[in-house]
Amino acid sequence: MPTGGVDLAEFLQHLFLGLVQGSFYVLLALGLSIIFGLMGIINFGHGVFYMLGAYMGFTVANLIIAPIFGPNIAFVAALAAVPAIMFGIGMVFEKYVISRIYNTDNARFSGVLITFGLSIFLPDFVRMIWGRPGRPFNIPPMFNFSILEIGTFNVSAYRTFVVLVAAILVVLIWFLLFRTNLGMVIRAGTSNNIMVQVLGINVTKVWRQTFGLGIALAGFAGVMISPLFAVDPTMGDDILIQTFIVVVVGGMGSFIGPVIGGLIIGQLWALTPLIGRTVFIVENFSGTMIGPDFWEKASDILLFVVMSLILILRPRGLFGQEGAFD
Amino acid sequence: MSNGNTGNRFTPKDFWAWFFEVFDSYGVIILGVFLLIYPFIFSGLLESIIWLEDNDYEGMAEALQTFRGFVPSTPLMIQILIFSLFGMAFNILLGNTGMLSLGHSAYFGVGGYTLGLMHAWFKKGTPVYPWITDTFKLFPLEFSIISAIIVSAVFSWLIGMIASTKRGVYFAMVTLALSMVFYYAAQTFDDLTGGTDGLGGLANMRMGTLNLRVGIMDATITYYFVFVIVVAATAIIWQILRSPYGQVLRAVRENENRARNCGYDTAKIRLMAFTLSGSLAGLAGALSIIYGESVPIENIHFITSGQIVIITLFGGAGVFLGPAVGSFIYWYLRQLMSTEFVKYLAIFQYWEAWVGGIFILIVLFVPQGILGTINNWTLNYRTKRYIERLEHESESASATESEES
Repeated sequence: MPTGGVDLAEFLQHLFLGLVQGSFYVLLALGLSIIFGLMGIINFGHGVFYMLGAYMGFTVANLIIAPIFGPNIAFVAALAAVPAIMFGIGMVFEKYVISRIYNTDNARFSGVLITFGLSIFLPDFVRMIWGRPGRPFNIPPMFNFSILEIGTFNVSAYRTFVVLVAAILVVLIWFLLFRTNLGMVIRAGTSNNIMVQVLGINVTKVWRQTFGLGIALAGFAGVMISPLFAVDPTMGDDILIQTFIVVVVGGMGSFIGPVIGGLIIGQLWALTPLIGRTVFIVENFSGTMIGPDFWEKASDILLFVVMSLILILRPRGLFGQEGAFD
Repeated sequence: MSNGNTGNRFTPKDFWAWFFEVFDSYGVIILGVFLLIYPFIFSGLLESIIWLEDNDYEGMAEALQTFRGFVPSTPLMIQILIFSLFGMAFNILLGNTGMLSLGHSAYFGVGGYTLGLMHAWFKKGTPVYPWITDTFKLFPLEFSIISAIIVSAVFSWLIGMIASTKRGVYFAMVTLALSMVFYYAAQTFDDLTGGTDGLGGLANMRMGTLNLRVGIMDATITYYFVFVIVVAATAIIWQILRSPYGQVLRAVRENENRARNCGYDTAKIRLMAFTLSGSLAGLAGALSIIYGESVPIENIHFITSGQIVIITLFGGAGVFLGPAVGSFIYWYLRQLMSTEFVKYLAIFQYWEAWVGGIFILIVLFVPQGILGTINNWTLNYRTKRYIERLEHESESASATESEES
């Protein structure tokens, strides 16, 4: 393991990987934040919906369409079909489960508990249907080339595609929230729910659609990430925690917060392993080095340190609304 | 016992009244005595199976063997006791202060890792001052358990400083996120904690004062060791919750602003409750590794937090003994599913799906938990009976008055 400096190519590579990871965080955190803003429910099942989306994509692409039309068309079909399927699943879940708790006396707690129960239920349910081990999901052949290759700096086509699609989706969501009637109702409901109901707008429907939208975003992120890693039932656990960190850092209640927070956390996640290559090589008391090996693994921990600092110094997050985190 | 109009017949209504009366007044004592003699019941069952086999009563032995599968074994009862303590510690927060912490696995795991590390550390002969080693060798288990409580108290205090300024769902989210730092730390410092394999090989745990060896070798002794500590800790929690401090906790749950306006420093009270709950969770975590003699890394993963939330809500969050009932149901069902039911239906091997599904149903339809619902039923019944009696008395009183006039 070289302990010297970091060359530019490696730095750029990590920067790029951070951007890719950050775009997944952005998609997930946006869905979480929209659902939270309108309904006041923190969706602890976001990670497992993401996992379910990946499995849906696997089913649609690898099991149904790929044997007939080939892997490229299958992947595109999965990208189109999974958000629709997950939108439906989200709406059904909202209609039959979550809507039951709206008028109970502790609705927010119940929302947390139900979605948390879902995050325990779904992985095993997925194991029941698709089997215990994870499933491989290859990068579709049409993305099997590099756009740019300088030394070790390698911009693969699929990762570029991911970043582009995420950017387009963020713009679309911005358009939906700030330039359409539905978005107007969502934003109004976020700031004052009862007033919107008084104005005669069918809030139930809007809530259902919003929940479906958040779930669809999570499922879409799941399909997009599955060619990079394998599809497996526990893939939602880590990313749920990381999404929470993104939301805490970026702040709830604003559109820009999850986006910027996701990009920051993505970069932090990718750049931490490089720290060990530069200056921070210390010996700890038991004689082992806090060196490169440590920093390779420390990126998970550093995220929590950043989150704690944000919670202490600026409790509402970088771009959060005032009083959003009390 | 008589309802007046039914004469001397003993009706089902009377039976339930009698049952609730006994349940109310002597329930805890009966439960305690049952738990106290439990290992003898179980080992008696095992021995009778052996005796029947030796004396050629094959049919009866087989029947008893089948029955044995449905009786919780002593190690399972150890687990149930430990998770009852954990649940009651958790219930200081959820049921009494109204704080939903989803990160209690952190303190549970930290307690376990402290106990494990103390043993691993001193076995390796790490150079420290000789008097420390000597003291430790005299009282290994006492020393480690006390330090497990202290260490988990320190960590829960630190996390509480950050998290307990948040309220409601934010608190749940922040505690969940912050608890995972312990999991990743346990993975990262794998030369110390054993990484994803967990910390194993902690044989030879000994209690210095009584010269008692606990561990996987002797389930009965470990059971009594755990039983005594759990009962003592339960008594402490009970005493704390009925003290004025416990009343303030419930005041914070009902209306924090009003409690603050009454002159209580609610931030400090919340932090204190969190630390208390965390350190007792650490005690439960330390106890939980004694029988297995190893620290699995799942102890510190948020799946354990999920377990304890489920256990507490199964039993009833507002009720003192709710988590104990929940713990029994949870572990017993889990054991039955993974050993007995799975013989008939393969679908029962996915017990997490069952537990998660049942949990969602409980939150939706029985939000007060099992013991809470039973309490409500008996409350309704008792109130009705009380009102009936009052009416009866007032009627008879008015009757006598009218007779007199």
